[in-house]
Amino acid sequence: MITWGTHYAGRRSCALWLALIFATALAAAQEERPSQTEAQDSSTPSTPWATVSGNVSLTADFYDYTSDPTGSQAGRRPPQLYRLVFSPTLTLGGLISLPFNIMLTLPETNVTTPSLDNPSFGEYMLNPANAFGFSSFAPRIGWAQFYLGSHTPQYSALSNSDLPLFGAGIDFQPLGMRIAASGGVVQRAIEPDSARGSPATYRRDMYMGRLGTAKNDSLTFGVNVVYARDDKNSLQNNIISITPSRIVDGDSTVVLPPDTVRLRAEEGMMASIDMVFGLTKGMNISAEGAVSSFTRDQSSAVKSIDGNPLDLVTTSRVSTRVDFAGTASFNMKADWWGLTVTGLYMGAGYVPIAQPYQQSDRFEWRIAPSARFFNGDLSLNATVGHRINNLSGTKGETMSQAIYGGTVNAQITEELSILGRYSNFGVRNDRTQDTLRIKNISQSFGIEPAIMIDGDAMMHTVNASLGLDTYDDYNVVSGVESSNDMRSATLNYLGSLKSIPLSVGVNASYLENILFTGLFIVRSVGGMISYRILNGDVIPSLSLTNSSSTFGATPSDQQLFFKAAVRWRMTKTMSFNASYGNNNYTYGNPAPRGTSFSERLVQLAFSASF
Amino acid sequence: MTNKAPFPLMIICAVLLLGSVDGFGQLRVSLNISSRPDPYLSNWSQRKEIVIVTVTNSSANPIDAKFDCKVNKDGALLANTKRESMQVLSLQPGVTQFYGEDLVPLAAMKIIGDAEKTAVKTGMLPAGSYEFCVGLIEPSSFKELTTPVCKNFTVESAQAPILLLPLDGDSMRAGQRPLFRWSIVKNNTSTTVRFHLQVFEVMAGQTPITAFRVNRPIIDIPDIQATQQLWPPDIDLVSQQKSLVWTVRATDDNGNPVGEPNGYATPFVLKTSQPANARREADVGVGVGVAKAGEGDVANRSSNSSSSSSRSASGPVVAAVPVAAVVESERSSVERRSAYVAPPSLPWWATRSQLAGS
Repeated sequence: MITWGTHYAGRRSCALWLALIFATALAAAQEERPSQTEAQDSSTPSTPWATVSGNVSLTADFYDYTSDPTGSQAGRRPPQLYRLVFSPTLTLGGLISLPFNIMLTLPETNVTTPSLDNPSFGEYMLNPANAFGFSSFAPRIGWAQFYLGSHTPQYSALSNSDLPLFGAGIDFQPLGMRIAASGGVVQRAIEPDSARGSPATYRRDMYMGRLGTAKNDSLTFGVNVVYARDDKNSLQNNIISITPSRIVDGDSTVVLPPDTVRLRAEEGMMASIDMVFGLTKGMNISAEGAVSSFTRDQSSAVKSIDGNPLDLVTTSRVSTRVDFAGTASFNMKADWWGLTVTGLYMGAGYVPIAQPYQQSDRFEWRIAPSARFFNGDLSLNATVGHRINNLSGTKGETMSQAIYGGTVNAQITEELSILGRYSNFGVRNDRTQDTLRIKNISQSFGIEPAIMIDGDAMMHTVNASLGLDTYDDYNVVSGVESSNDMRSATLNYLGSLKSIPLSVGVNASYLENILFTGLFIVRSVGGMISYRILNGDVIPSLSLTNSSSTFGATPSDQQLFFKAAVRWRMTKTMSFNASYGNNNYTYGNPAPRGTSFSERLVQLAFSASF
Repeated sequence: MTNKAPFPLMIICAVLLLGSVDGFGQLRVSLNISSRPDPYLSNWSQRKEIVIVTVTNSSANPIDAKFDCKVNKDGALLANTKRESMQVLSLQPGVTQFYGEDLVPLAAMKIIGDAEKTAVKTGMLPAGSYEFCVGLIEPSSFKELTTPVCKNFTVESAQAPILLLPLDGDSMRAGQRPLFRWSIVKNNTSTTVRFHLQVFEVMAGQTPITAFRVNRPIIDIPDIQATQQLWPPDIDLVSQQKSLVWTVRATDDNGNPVGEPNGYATPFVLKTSQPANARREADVGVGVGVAKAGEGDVANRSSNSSSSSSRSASGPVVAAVPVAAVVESERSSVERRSAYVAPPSLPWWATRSQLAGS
């Protein structure tokens, strides 16, 4: 495999800087345009045949870390991290519009998914951290859109893709219809790297499509299909482990032959029908039903599955699972109140191929009313719900979860507002007294008053919060040790002088967590100051926070966090931010994480719109 | 005068009789089965160590036979092989080993009652205690050639954890230290389930799931045995400006994931929030990872867009605009992003109309 790693990192850095210079020039040119336009208005107005607009931001993070003793802890961030987000839109003659999406990240920081030290250009672009794509839209036609490169198709609740797709797509909406299709790569092929301990992944291709009506107020209807397949030929080495020949435990006469475990290549397909029916203005019903057929191992034997509606278009194997899912909701939004009722079912064998981190084998429903009174000065939101997990009973005990919650937001006066919130989660299974009983109740209560006083000389803003969290475990063995309460209080004050552009703030917080093994307390106090100069175009600020944490009778840990920042509004469309943060932490008990550590983070960010 | 059987027929019968008498007692079966095999039935045919049957033929001739297997759960028959569908084996003199696919080919299995539907849906055996019995039978008459040998095994399978608090889409106020809570995971074994908490920053242009997949976590705490973890005091909280996405992963003592998908709980989003008065004054747009109270998590959990690209032939529709506006304070600034910074597939002109208004 050809890799340009050693030189490509340098080329990528150059590309980032070139893109930044180009975007800055565009932004600067945009700044000049008003005066030029004004001058031209008096003479002959002309419309340029090509215009460029959009946004760009370039960020650079530099992180440094030391610990005592050296190596007792690892740093939390990469030493450098560069990111470019460039979103220009090129409009040609008012006929064609080409929005671009460019997002580049250097270096790779993947942890949940495998990363590469020296990726090739193709591997680099296929990393979900990066995106390069553009869409083509014709405003005068109004119904045709094309995609090339990175894009994330969104069709319906169950078929929406969580994964950006690098490929091509269309989205047509002629005559009240909608025809959309996309195909591309959602996962890049990565060879295993035993030195880094990173596993292998196959390249996964995904194809999606929707056929139905365009969204409208009366009835929106569509059929969605998603198909994904691992390419078994995308890896040279798909071996996970090799087990040598060995004697079976407990029987020396039986000798196991050597065994090779290989990475399974998966394949999956889902199809759904969805509809949104508008009853009246502000009221609709939506529903979607889906079926999925998922094969864990493409190399397993072929086996037909009775009743599999997708058997005609996919190959069923002994490792294939087929199941259904459905969701429905009723939404009502009036002037001062609203109601949402939702339900979701996912069968045990349903695999949402486009949403890989969704858990199946569950049923849940929620009712969420909301109301606003006194011109929005009082708003209420509530949630009541229930969720049953492991419906099939294949994964131990079926577990049920009750959900209750609500918030009240009240603007008492122009100066005073209060936010109150409460949530209650109960999780339980069907066992009663034995050691496998699960019954947990987690409650959280908080109240957050806020005061803003606009004085003659100064504006004062005070925010406070009080919180209480309780966790009760009713298991006969673990309950005593795991039950715990937490109480917290925070106070923030910000004062802004009117005569001079000076702001001063102080903050304090207190938290105590009552654990079975002892009392854990965290206290912090801090302050900040900022000043506006150059007509508010430049705002430097400093903040300092001191914290201490204590567990039981052990000596307290101490933390000192200092941050200096400056925000510079260079022009109406360009801004620059820089910050330096220094975190010094000393452990009261040196074992096991060492005596102390210090970390420094410098963050630079440039953004512009044009 | 009596009728006698033809002499060749008598010879054939004698041979068959001797063969059948010769088969029984000259075959010996020993069974080794993993005490905790893989719950997925499809893996039984590919992983040799799950079940091994050793057949010893002490005769001088090959003997034809079929395997006859039964799986019992809690004393009741759960599945058995269809005798007529099993392959006829010619057992050579000496010792021969057979593995999962030879013993329990799924095409020749009969699963009793609802268990078959569950097996088709999930492809796995439910968690619990089982007994596996294997013996050899005569291919045509199905007469037992060996006494069935049985061994017990336990299928371990547990559901992945579920995140509880903070709620998906909840806001983290300045200075507040979140307490992350998730559901317990119980499996039916003595192995300890441990949790790995990971918290990621969602950077500009990323959806929460993308951030989860590609960023390095700012909080990465393995080997948690409790079902909660406070934001560590040694990780700075004051400067937290970006939204976060967090999850936990359950693993057993050997580091193997517990539950699907891959041991992970469905990630939740945790936003940073300005004070209440500032919220009233700010022009807060809807869309960027915001899970409004009462909305189902299916539509809002995964991305920054609404559930479908909202556009109609009648003209531009004001779709979700990823605008984050905060009160004039020293820690925040107004950012206006194009459609491609947050949800790339939203039509460009839906946000262009918003930008034009600025």
